[in-house]
Amino acid sequence: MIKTIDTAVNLNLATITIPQCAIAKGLITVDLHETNSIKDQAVFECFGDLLLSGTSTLTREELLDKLNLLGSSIDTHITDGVLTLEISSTQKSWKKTLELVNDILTNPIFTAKELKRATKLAFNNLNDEKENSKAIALDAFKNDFFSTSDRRSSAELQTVQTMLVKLTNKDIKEMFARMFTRPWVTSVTSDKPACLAFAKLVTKQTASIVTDTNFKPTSSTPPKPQKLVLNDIPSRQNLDIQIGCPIALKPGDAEFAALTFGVAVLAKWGGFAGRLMSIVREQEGLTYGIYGRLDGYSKVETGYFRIETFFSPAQVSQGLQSTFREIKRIYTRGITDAEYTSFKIIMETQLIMRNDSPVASIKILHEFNKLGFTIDQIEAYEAQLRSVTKTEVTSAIKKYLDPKQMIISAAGPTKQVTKELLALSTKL
Amino acid sequence: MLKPTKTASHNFTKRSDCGDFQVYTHKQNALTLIYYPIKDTGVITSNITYKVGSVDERRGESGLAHMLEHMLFKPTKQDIKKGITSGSIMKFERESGATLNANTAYDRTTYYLAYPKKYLSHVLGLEAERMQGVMLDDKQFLPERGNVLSEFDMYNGDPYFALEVAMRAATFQSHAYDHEVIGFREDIEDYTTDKLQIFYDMYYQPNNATLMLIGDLSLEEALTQAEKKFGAKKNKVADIHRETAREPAITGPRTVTITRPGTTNILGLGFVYPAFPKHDWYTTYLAIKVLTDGPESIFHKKFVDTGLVSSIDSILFPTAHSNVGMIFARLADSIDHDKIKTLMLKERETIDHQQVTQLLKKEQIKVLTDKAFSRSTSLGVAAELTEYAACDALDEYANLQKNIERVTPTQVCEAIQTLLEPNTLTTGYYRSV
Repeated sequence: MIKTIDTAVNLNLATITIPQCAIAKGLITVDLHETNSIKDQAVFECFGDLLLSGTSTLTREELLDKLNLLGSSIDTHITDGVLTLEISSTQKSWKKTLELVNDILTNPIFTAKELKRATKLAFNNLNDEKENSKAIALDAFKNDFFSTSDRRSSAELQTVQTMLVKLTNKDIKEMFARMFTRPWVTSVTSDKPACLAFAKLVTKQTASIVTDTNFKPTSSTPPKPQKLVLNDIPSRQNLDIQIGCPIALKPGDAEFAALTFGVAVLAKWGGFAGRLMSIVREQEGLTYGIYGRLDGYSKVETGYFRIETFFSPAQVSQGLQSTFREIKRIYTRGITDAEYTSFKIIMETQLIMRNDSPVASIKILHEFNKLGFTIDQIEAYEAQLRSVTKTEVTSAIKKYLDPKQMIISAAGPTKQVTKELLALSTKL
Repeated sequence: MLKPTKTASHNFTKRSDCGDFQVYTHKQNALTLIYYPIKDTGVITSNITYKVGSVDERRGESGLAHMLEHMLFKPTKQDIKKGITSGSIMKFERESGATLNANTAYDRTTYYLAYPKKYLSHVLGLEAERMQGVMLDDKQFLPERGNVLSEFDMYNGDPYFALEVAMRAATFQSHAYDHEVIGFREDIEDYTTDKLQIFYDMYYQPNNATLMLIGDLSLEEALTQAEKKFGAKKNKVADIHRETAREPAITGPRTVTITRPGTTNILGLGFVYPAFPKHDWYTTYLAIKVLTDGPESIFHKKFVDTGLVSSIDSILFPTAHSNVGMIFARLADSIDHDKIKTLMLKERETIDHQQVTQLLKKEQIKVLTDKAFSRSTSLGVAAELTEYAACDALDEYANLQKNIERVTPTQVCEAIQTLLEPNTLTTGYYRSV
């Protein structure tokens, strides 16, 4: 297995070459964020679908037919204004799959018929999202401290739906053109010939990019956050909860590794090792899962800390009190010697476990690639995680995880618990 | 006839060679061992699958297999002696960062860990110890039951889950596939440690288990470590209770309705399909994919692309007995359930052999590509082998390509006719008010 990152202008190509690899996976990411306008948000809801809606030589049906006959897939998604194309196939079908990708990126055709289909589909999907309490809790959480022009802020679903039906092909074509005014971040894993074929494709596609020098990520003027944000969704059984606050750090910053370590001790994402899983779930039986992470940052933007969990209406007060008790405990007392020792091993294990999966490996490398890290910088960051001291971890927690700064966003059957949550939130 | 490969270091006999992996049986306790090498990753996944699931539960005890799965992360008698109050499995995860979890299905309960290979011996020791050594007392049980109730509420808040529970109960009158794996809330509230103990004693023994060792280890390591940790384990029960009920024939359409506040409206169509991994199971699996999988599928084009529904989904599990599969259509605003049902059944009447031929070919390629991806990791291999182990069909893992490719368009057309036969359908209405 050989890992490289080529940081050529507008290309940023990360590669993991695995001899005789039976599969191939490629990722292309382009940051399309501008001002987070309602129109952009509406376009983002259907743009991925429309990218696969046909080319000058292939109708949508023909394109899907060819892709499926190869057993290949091109998944598209846009999160926080960042478009990612995820291309998967067997190594044998890779070359032909890339020919289709090339066609999509070179000769797209956005027809009125396809626009109508895609916007209707997106409209219906947004209707479904109106009862997605987990997503609503997260959106409300981010909206509480990011301004509306920030990429992480989301407009009301209804507002986006209203804009969706007004979109024209011109809007879609402009978004497509925007793809070629931004640097791309690309990653691939497979055997050498397949990796080279992908490199050839993205080199060709990015050759004509003229980076928009006026483009700068939005500098957000945050609103004054409310301590408690509630969204009532009576059909749900539990209250989905987000707890957290903005964190003025980026991954390249000195304290980032120490805080990452500290957040893992409190609420490691996945598994049972975090303090909150040990206590709030295992000992107290208040929730099925409670995890936390640093999230929402980019190469140039700071992000936030968030804990994700859910509680039943009957146990939500107790659950929140337990969670805040543990945040306060780690904030005031830091981590223990035993936790420091264990999490050093845990971090090391996670690095080894990547080798089990080529897909997981390339996705992790792609995340670093998006942050602008070189292989040396990734190794330096991993070395930092290995060498971080207990004092540094405790100090980062003390600086960034102040429970008084934490807000709570809850979505679900909130009406029945509004009074008790309002009273509780002033004490947390 | 394969020759036994017994050596002084272990008591396993080779049962079969399935290409990528070999299957062994322990001579004394009949534990099944699978050895599946994946070289140079530094990672091993161990998986132990017990043939016990929700199918083995009696009335009033729904979800017991799943509750017991949770309890197997609690302290064993050895842990108590050593003062490891959190249980050594959880302690290991918290100190090593290994990936660890479990899941329960209709016919089986599975525990797995993925970890750097240096932990192999330790992990097998933990797995062997909890096979029969977990303490089932109220101190551990009561908070965990709270977690299971929380898990139940998480699922139950999902409209699809609520509809599936109702449709399953309406489809089965006798067979124990009549309830969901997690069980009913009322039953969960009534569990006792005595009930759990009876279940534990009945099903957790070597001759009811398949141990899989997948990843960066040698055959010798696999056999000797499995012998060392599991060789002395005894079978406590000679005659394990198994579900034997035969479901009466369905002689007319069945209908269930769920009504809840909100905005979601879903139509569900339930149909009975054959056991895994019979040829007819693969035919049904591909028929459902032809109808519902992805933007080219028949129902997607007919209903999603036209805006009548926002999504089409389906479920069809690989189970040891004939089970109920379901197709779900999430309706767009103001669209009537029965309108969609009528249109779906009309599609059945006008099914186009040529269209099915084209779609089937693509689905066959897609399934095999997906498997190439899932088989590129030890965890993916383990997850797939688990289903074959639960159905006593390990040899069929290697036959996947053959089993998929031998399904014909005519068979798929016939399967669609059978599945959507109006007289045997269970129709589910999820209505928001």
